[in-house]
Amino acid sequence: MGAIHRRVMNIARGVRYTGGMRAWLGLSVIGALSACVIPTQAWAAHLYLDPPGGVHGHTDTFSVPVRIDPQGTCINAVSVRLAYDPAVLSVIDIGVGSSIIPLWTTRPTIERGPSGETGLVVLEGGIPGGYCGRVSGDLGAADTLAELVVTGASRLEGNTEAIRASIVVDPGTVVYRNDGTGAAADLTVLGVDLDFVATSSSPANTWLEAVKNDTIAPELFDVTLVRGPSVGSAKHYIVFSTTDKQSGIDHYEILETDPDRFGFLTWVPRESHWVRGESPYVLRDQELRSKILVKAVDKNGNERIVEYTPPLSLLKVLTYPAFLVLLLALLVLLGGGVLGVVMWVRRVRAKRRQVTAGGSSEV
Amino acid sequence: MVSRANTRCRVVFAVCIALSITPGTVGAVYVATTSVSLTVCGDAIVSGNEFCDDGTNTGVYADSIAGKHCTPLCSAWGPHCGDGVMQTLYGEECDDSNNTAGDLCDPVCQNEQDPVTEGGGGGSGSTGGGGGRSSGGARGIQGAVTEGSVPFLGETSVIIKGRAYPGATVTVLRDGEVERVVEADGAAQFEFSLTDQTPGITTFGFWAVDRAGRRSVTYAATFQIIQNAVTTLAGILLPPTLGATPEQVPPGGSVTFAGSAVPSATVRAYVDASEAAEETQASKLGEWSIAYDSSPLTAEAQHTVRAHYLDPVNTALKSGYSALTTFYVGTGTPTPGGSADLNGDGLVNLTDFSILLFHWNSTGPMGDINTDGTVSLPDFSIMLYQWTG
Repeated sequence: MGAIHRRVMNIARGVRYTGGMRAWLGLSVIGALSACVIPTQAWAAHLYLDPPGGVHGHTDTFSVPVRIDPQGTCINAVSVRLAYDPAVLSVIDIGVGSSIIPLWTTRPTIERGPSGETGLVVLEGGIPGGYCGRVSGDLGAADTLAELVVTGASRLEGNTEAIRASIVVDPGTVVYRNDGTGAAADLTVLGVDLDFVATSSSPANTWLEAVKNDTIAPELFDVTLVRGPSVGSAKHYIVFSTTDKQSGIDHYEILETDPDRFGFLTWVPRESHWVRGESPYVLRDQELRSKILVKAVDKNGNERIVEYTPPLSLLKVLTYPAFLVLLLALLVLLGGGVLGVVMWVRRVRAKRRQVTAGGSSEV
Repeated sequence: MVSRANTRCRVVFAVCIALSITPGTVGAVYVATTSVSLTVCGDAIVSGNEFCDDGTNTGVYADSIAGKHCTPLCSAWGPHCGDGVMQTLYGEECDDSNNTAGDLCDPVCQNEQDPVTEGGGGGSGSTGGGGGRSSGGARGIQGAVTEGSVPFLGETSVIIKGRAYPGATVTVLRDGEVERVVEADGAAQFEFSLTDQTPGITTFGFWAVDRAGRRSVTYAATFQIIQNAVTTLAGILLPPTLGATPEQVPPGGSVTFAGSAVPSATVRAYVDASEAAEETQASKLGEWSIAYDSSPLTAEAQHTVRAHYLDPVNTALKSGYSALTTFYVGTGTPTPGGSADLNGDGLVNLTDFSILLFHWNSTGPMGDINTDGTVSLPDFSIMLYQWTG
C-alpha cells in the first residue's frame, strides 16, 4: 500500500505545474486508487500530508500541510498522530492559522517517543457543526488541519547524497463523524516523503516569511466566568478561545488585577503580572474581586487583549475598600453634622441664658 | 495571488468533489450536501449571480466603456462615459452611449462642435476632438480609489444567503461563537452581510428554531474569506426540524414525526437504519408531519428517526439530515439520551466545552455524555454535533 501511495505521489509530482493542478491530479488518482484497492473504504474520509515538491536544503524551513478530505462524510473531531524520525527531520513548530479547527482539546504538541527515537506530532480538536468538505467555488485551501513546520536535522550536514525523511500517519489517528453518536469515521491516510540534501547556501525559511507578514491581531473574543461548584469543581475559572487566521495563536496570557490593591481583610498588596495560561483557567482570586485581562498573542507577536470584570455581589460591594472609604466619609460627615448641631444648640442656649441673666440684673 | 488558471482548476476540483457525492449511494446518514456554493466578488471571475467582476470592483466613475468599473457587490457597472446616462456629477456634458468622436459627443462625454455648421467645413471629427480634456491625470489613476492619501482596496465582507423555514429564527455562528441572529421571511429565505471581516479560513454555522420552538441541528460551512473582496456563500439549506410525539408508545402504537422545512418541500423520514423512507410534503408554511405505525419495530427498544427534504426548486438538491430523534416502543423505562449541555443553561457552547476539558480523561459522570465511563473524544464529538454557540 505504501509503495502504491509513493508511486501515486511521484505521478503527482511529475505533473506539478500549479498547486491546484497537482492537488486535483494527485487526489483524483489517490481517490481512484483507494477506491479500487480498498473498495470497502470507498467513502472513507482521507487524511493526508500535502508534500511540497522538490529537494530541500537541510537547513531550509518550510511547512507541510496536513489536510483532510471527508469525501462525503461529515466529520467534527480529529485526533491525529504523526510520527517521524528525528535523526533526519525536525518538526520545529505547528501552524494553525489556516486550520479549519477552531477548538483544540489540547494545544498541538511535538513530542518524543518513550525511547526518544521517534518524534510525534499530536493534533486534537474539532469543528462546531462539523466539516463536510470544501465548498464549491472556494478559492482557498479550506481543508487544512495544521501545518507542520519542518527542517532537516543538523546531522545531515556533510552528506553528499540526498536523504529521504518520512512523516507517517500513526494508526492511532481517529476522525469522528458529525452525526451525534460519537462514532469514528472510516479513514484512509497518506504520509509524506521529503528529500533533503546538505547545502552550504543560505537557508530558505518560507515559514518565517509568512509569519512576518502577519500584521493582524487575533480575533476578538469573549471571556466567560464559570462558577465552579455548579459544574463539579470547587473553584471559579474562566473560559476563552479565539483564532488568528494568519499565523495562528501562539499563546494566551492572563492578568488578574485588583485596582484597589487591598481587600477588606487582606492588607497585603496583590501583585499584578501576566501569566501564561490556557482555557479553562482557574482564577487566583477566588473571591472575584479582581478585574481579569486575557491576552491572545499570535506567532508574530500581535496581541488582542480582552477585559472581564466579574459581576458584583452584595457581600463584595459591602467589603470593597472604596465602599468602606465612602462609608467612613459619610460617617465623618454625619458625625460632623451632629457635632455642629449640638454646638449650635449649646450656643443658642448660652445666648438665651445671657439674655435672661442681663434682664435680671437690670431689674 | 491565485492565478485565473489555477482558480479554474480548483473550482473544477471542488465541483468534481461535489459530483462524487452521489446522494443515495452511501446509504449512511451523514452524507454531505452539495447545495452550497461560494462566489467571490473580487476574483475577476464572473460566477454565480454576479453581473460583473473586474477584480477590483471599485464602482467609481470611468471616462470610457473600456475602463468601466464593476460595483463593490458585483451587481452592476459603475457610472461611466458611454453608459447612456449623462453624469453631470462627473463633468459629463453629454453621453451618447459610445466613446466615438465626431458625433457631437466626444470620447470623454464632452460636447463636440458640429464640424459642418461650426467648424467651417475644414475640420474633421478627429481633429475637432483635440481640444478635449485629458482623460487621465485630472481624474487620477483609473481603478484606484483614495480615502485621503491611503489607497482603499475595498472592504473584506461576506454575504450569506440561504433557506430555513418560514418565520424561523436563524442563529449564525462564526468559528463556534454566536455572530448574530436573523429571521427567515415567509418564503423561508434569509440573507445578511457582514462587513470588516478578517480574511482567512472561517467556519460559519447556522441553526434555526421553527415557529413551534423546535431546534434544528447546526449546519456548518468552512471556506476562505478573501481579502478586499465580497465573498458570497449561497444555497444554504438548513436541515428540517424534527420531533417525535409521543416519546414513548406501546408496541403497535402510532408515533407522529413532525417538523418544519422549506415550503412545499418533499420531506423524507428514515426510521432506524432503514433505507425506505416515509414521505410527505410540507405545507406552504413549511410544516410537515407523518403518522408512523410502530408495528414493524422491535418492542421494548429505543428507535431513531431522522429526516431531510428535497429542494422544491431543484429536486436534485437535498438538505442535510435533521437531528437524530429517539422514541421508545414498549412499556419499559427508556434510557435518557446524553446531553452536551453540561451546565444546564440551554446552550451548548464554550462553557460546556470547558467543563468537558475540566473533566477530560476522567471517568465522569460529569462530561461523560455517552456514558462509556470516560470523558474523551467521542463525548467531544457529540458536543460539537449539539453545538449552539
